[in-house]
Amino acid sequence: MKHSLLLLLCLSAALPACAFLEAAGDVEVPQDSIPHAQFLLKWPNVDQLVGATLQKAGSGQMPPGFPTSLANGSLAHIQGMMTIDGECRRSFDQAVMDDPKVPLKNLHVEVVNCGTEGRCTAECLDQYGDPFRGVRLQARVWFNLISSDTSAKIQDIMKGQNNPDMIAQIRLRFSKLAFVQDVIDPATGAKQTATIDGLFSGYELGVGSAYLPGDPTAVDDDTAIVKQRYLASISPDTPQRFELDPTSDFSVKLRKAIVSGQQVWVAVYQRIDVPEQNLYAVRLNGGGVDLDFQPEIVISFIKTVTGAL
Amino acid sequence: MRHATARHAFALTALFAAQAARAQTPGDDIPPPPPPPVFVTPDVPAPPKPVPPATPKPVTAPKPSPVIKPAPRAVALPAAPTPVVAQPVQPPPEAKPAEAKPADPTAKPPKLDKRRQEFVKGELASVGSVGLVPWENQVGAVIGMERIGDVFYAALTPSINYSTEIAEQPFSMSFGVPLRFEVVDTRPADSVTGDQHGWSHIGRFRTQDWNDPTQYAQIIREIQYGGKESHLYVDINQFKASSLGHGTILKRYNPNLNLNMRQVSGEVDAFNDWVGGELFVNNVVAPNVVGGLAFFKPLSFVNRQNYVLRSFSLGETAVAELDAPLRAKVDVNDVDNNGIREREYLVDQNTYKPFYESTKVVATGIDAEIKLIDTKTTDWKTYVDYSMLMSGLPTDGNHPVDGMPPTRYVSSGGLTWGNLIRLNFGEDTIHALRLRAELRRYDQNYLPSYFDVMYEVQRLQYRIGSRTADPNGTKVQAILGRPIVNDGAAVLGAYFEASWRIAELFAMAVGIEVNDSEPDNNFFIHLEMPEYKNFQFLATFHRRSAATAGSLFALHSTGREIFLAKARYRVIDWFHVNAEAITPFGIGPDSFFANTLDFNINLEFGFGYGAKK
Repeated sequence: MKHSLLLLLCLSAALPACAFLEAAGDVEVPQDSIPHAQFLLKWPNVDQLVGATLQKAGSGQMPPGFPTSLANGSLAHIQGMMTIDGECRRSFDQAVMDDPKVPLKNLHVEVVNCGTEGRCTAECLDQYGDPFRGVRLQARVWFNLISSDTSAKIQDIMKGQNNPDMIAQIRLRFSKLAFVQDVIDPATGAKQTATIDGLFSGYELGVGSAYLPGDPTAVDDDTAIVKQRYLASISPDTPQRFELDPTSDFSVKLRKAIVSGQQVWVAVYQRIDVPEQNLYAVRLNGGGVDLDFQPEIVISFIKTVTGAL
Repeated sequence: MRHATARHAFALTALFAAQAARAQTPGDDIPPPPPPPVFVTPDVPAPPKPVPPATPKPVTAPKPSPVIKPAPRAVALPAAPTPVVAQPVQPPPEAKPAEAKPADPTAKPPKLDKRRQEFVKGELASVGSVGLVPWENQVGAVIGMERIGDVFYAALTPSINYSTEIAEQPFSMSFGVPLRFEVVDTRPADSVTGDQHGWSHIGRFRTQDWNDPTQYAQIIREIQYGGKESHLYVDINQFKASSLGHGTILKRYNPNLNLNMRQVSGEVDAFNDWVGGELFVNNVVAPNVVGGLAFFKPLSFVNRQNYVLRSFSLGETAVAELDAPLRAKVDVNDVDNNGIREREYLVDQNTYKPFYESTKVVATGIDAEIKLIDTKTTDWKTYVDYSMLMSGLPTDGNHPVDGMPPTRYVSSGGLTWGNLIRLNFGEDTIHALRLRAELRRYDQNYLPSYFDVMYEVQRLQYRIGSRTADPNGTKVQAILGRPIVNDGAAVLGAYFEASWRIAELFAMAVGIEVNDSEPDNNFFIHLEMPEYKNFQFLATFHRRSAATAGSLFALHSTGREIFLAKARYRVIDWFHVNAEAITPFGIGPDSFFANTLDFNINLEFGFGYGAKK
């Protein structure tokens, strides 16, 4: 009888303990194993975007007095230039970033002219499918999410297992995510950096396969991570986590890539819609996206163990 | 959101506790009072069958056979409101034969004989109950481990129970005080404040269980008088499922299927040969789902002796949820700091209740019923019922607004023709059989038995199993907002249910609910072995909201299953071990409702007091 009672007492303690182990079985890859990302993703120079049109002005194809540089031009000026040329979109590409320490490459920026009714209508719908009027800015850049060193550390944690399901969660923890531009303080004349988050709508940051638009092998698997409603809550004092939807197609691919032991590049995209009334207030030169984030990967300890059995 | 799945082990463990008392008193010579029905009967109560008057005929001593005994309350067993006595009265050997006595026209029939001859009806198996009241006239405690959300607790539940009879009707009370002490909090440390969880608060009393005055009602485990289908029935409990009338609006609704919450429901039934009614609230302290049935038997005024005329009734049922989820709120502010926002519901981190914009849902119906056959072995009634469902649906479409959306009125309805057949057969061992068959024709955006066994979790997340939070996936929107196709062609459906009970030896029930077009097909099977030596067993399996009738029997899980398996073993008189495998529903790891398979073992200590029952 004593032995039976002891056995029962042990069982009563052990079974909930199993549940506890299951609940506590998720471990996060140490943050020092995944490099912190902090950089200012600058918009291209305006002249780089609309240079061709301006060159026409310099060659006498434009009316006299037409400016030959829009260094301080706003999005309204860019939209005007594109309208003159009858263009829906204009893009800029930069293969290598100015700062070699930044784990980015292959920047691709697009400006979509949603200026007049009947023009570019298919590309100028807002998040609800309603017509949008203004300028849509899109940027896509390759980001080195998993370096070779990081991959090796993850392999250590996973004890050589390569089951993608062990990756329980992939997320980004943002301490800074703000659209900024240089402004001149009218009182002092000094140059300052100001955020312009209130001047646009429809913000979205996401990730997808590392391809460039127009790539015939590309698969549209863009997955949104951060939306406009969250921008205001992100600050160094209030960092915010955002997970990558584990059910998305891209997430499935990414988990496989992470456990493959190779370094992983992903395409990070951002887009904003600047409405007509704010076009004059937004300038590209001196502006960009100020980012500070920590990628985080959570590995299921239980699945690691069971996978090894 | 993190886990919010609770394991109310005390409630589940209690399922078998009442049987402990029975197991400890095998030689009782006083039959226990007729058990209250643990599972409400969805039918309009009929008057008791006429009892043969006392006669001077010799009373032959019936064999003390294994006739159907009162169901142990602890296992939510059939709740036959008219149980046959366990120990029929026998005349003493030296007594003169009854026929030698002069007939006494004023003599009352022997009470126990009256009981013995009553027809066994009501639910024969306890489908839908998640736990029951422990012990009869015992005091003790249940000790175990529980998990609420991501936090593990040591749980101690001191309990006391008392049962007696008042005016020849059973009356019982049971109270318990669930006390939880933190063991470990598995949530990650707060990245902003740096607050650590883990073992840092081991032994801390969980005050959230008692910081709201309404929570003090949870000490009531059961207060019950009478039995379902008796002339007066009062039942206040926190374990059972309930039905109103034929169940076409509210059937086997259990307010406690969401195991993160504990609610004490209440029901009052009363009737006579002319009128009657039933009232139900899902929470006696803060009612949210309220319902009632009123019926009238006009032909009783013509002839009360004719069972056909006496049984004819006209009734009206109404059920309303006053705070029905219309649109769920999602965790856009990531209050649990796990990075999951729009894929999980916003949940109160202390109570694990989800937040939502609410509306009201009202269901009402009228019905007529008549009994076709009424003999000692067979009882057949048929009924027709028309019910409507009414509420409001959001009109903000592709431009969802923050806060309460504007709504428009929507209604739908359905017609049901049903038959209920109850059979008793056997001599030494009574077999009771209960069959219900219904044919239905209803609108595409209507659902028969809208308030059903899984309502407490599906009201917020109708398509449980989709593994993601859908703000507009509430039951109101999923049913009333269902797109109308095929020019609004009516849905044709059928329902069949059978239950069978053999005394105390065995009970089972099976039911299937199918239709020709909507993904609302249901199936359940239930088995009981109420008492075998020191061992007891019960298992129930539900599959709900299956896409097609065929998929009801698919081998893979849809995530919309309920499984309860419980076993209880008496080690010694005052010590029992409860083991269970359950799939509790709660807010899961990603803060949407999901069921997980849990195994629990709990230890139960109980000591008798007062007169044994």
